[in-house]
Amino acid sequence: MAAKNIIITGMGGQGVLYLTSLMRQALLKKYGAITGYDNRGGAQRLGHVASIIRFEDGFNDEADGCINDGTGSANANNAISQNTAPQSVSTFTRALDFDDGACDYALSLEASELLKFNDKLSGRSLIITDEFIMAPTNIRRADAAYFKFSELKRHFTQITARFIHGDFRNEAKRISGGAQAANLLLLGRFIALSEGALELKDINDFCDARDFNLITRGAQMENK
Amino acid sequence: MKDGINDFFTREAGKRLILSGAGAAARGAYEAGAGLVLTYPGSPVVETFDLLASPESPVKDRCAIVINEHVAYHQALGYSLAGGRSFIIMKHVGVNVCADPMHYSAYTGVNGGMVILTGSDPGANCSTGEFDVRFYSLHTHIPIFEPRDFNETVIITKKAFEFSERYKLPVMVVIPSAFCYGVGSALSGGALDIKNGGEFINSRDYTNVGALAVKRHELLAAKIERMRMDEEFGGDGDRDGNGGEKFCGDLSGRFVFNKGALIITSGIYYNFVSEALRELKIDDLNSIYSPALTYPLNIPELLQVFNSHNFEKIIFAEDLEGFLEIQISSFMAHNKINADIFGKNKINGFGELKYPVLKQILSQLLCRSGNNAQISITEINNDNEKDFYLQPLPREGTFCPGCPHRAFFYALNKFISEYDVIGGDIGCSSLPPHFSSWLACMNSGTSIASGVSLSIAGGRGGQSCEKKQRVVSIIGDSTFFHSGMQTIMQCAASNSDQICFILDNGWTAMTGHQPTFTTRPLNESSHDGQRVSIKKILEAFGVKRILEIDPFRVDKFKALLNELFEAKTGAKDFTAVIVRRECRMMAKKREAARNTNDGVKKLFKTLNYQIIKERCAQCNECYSVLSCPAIFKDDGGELYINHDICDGCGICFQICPNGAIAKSEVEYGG
Ligand code: SF4
Ligand code: SF4
Repeated sequence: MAAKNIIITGMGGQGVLYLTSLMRQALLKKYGAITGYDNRGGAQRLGHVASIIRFEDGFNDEADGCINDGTGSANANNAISQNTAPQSVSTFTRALDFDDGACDYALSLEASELLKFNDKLSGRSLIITDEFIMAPTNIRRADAAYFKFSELKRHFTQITARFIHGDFRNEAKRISGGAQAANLLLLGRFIALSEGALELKDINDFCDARDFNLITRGAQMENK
Repeated sequence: MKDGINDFFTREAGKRLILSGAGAAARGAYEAGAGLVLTYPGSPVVETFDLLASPESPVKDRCAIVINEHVAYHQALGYSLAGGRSFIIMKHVGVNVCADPMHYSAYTGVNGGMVILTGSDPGANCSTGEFDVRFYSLHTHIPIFEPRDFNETVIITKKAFEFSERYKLPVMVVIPSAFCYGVGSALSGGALDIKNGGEFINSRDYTNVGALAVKRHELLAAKIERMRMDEEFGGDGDRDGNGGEKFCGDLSGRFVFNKGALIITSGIYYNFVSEALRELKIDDLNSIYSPALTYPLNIPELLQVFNSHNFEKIIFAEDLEGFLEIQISSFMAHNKINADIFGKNKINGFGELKYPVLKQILSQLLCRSGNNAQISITEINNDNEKDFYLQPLPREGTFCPGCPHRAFFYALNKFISEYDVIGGDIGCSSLPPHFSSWLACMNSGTSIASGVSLSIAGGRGGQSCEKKQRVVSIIGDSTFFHSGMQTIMQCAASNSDQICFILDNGWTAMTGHQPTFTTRPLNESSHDGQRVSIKKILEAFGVKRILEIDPFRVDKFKALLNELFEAKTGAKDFTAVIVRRECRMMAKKREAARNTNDGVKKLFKTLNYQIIKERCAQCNECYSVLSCPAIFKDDGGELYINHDICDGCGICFQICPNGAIAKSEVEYGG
């Protein structure tokens, strides 16, 4: 199988890195090989944050992982290991980054942030984005116009027929009382639409019952 | 996340670990038995220290955040001179700060292994500037390793300690930011026992003056020469067992021999090149050489590479300044090896080297015969920007909602003009890019010192200026301790005509909230380090005018600024203003701890702010001028506060000229 490439993006404080951490663990367990990188910026909230995950089938027999939680606040307690026999390290020699147009799945917690990855998107991409948009402070100071969701929708549907969007923040607030859970609903939507690349059972080991319930709710949301 | 078995600190070999690049380096240092781990916080390698200092770490008591990299380097050097293994973690900019001891540590040498982990930042994604830190080794003569992946980072970091002991030299391991934040798999090696420092035995080798210094320099040159000729490196072997990758030592380079062109690369770019050649279906037609030790380059390895085939085309695939190209071109000239060289004439010497760009360059050089057209990263990126309906707009870094720095800059902005000179700092307080007249936004409190010369040269109405140009310098509390104190002492001594604002938010916030010398304990057990009074330091330095202010009391703060900046009566002496208010993220943690009882949220009251549409004149003072990101504009142009994002700091309420923001008390928790 060729490597599959995922982009996850949004802004600091939206839970991008937690979403990435869950996906990395689940994908590693399922496929046995992952790589990729994060673009985290500083510790401040609301800056650009993005993660790249690359995975590939065919390394499953080697899966025996101890995963750092990937949130940047290192805590070895969050390490997970599957207690199988030690194997040799994977021969997965993929670059951290991937080619233009080669994104298979793009998940965006703030719709306009995904524009930064225009080059990576193509007709093969499944894009799932929150409808939430936040104008940058430089745009506010200039009192300039920022993107409307209708424009972004037009943009992304020109790139791929598989463009899915949802009001994940408000839905999360309705279900859980806080917008923060939008990342879990979006993950659920991805699981429902990924054609088996990731399944609900794959994620179950890596989150608590509350989070799993929210991911399941996301998987059941209607497509827009 | 569910609790899992904590295997990061396993002592067993052969356990498969999934790590970030920064984590892989931490694992390597742990396996090596590093007995002293020091850092000054710097992205992208913060996580390396955080892991080793985490509550679960068996070496947590050996870890310390030190006032700056210069002091850290000295401490580590002392420990290694006494035979212990020391590990220092810093970003590339930190190497500038410890460059002085780094130079002479190569003369003194070490006894116990000393490894410096440096996170470089091509593309300046998470730090200040993107200079190529590897060039330090050309004059310090500190050897450099560049691991190519997660597994190799564990091995090389561990082995670097042995290498340091073999050659009695500090050793640097350099990993770039994209890799530090990358995640992949590695195999644990067995963890060695901690190697402590023992008795310090004095030696004339540690004295570097006059003829002794020249002698040590001569010995250092001989040491580097021995390292260059070390046969253990390129020793024959077959790494993958299939006749593909040559060289088999843990610290050896990689050589994939297929005749054709030779692509020379290092670190993470090895996998970039491999994958690009595979995707272009020319991987079995071209060779790749990637040394692990990139300074000094190993001659037996290089000879094996160049003797294997008469390569007509050599391509250097590396980011930034062409560190390998310079060294290997010189080797080729000395050895009369002729070939067409493509390197920095094809790949830009600035910015991140992205995979698509590298692949395109390799394609142009290797797939179309005779096409050597000049191509650059910028051209490729521009090409790709053409076709899309929308292009991204830049999103500047900004302060968190409720950040005291936002309130500070909001008020300051009312009193200074474009013409005035503002000296910047590093960290959160350097964020507002709209201050276009930043003097120098960089490490080390340089802005304050530059302010001294400016105020002498004519700033603030000196003879060479027609108009009064005021000099303002800004420094955070971490940088104050890191490198600002000496310059402030100098300012006080020369009574520099400038106002220096020290933004004391109590934390090294930008790199993940490490404590500083002003940090208050978050709870009883969290931080029992020594607390230092900035005010007392300033008094001891002889600063005559010291003021303290809370930026959240906007009117009071503006009145103070008015007094300071007022042309006739304003400050003439060097004036230090301590602007004190805790970083909002940490203040909220403190509040959360206070409002929680045994994990259950107590009922607590908090303030809620709301824009009253009927009163709002849409003057945009809160939306555009204060630029609080929690304030939104709807499609009809009406402003509202997004309560998911609002922090409840109340600054908008204080500054609204129309009284259109209402405050109410709400109860939470319970
Ligand atoms: S991290 Fe703290 S100091 Fe930095 S911008 Fe956010 S609130 Fe302000
Ligand atoms: S909306 Fe007002 S109260 Fe809320 S964070 Fe912004 S300035 Fe503070």
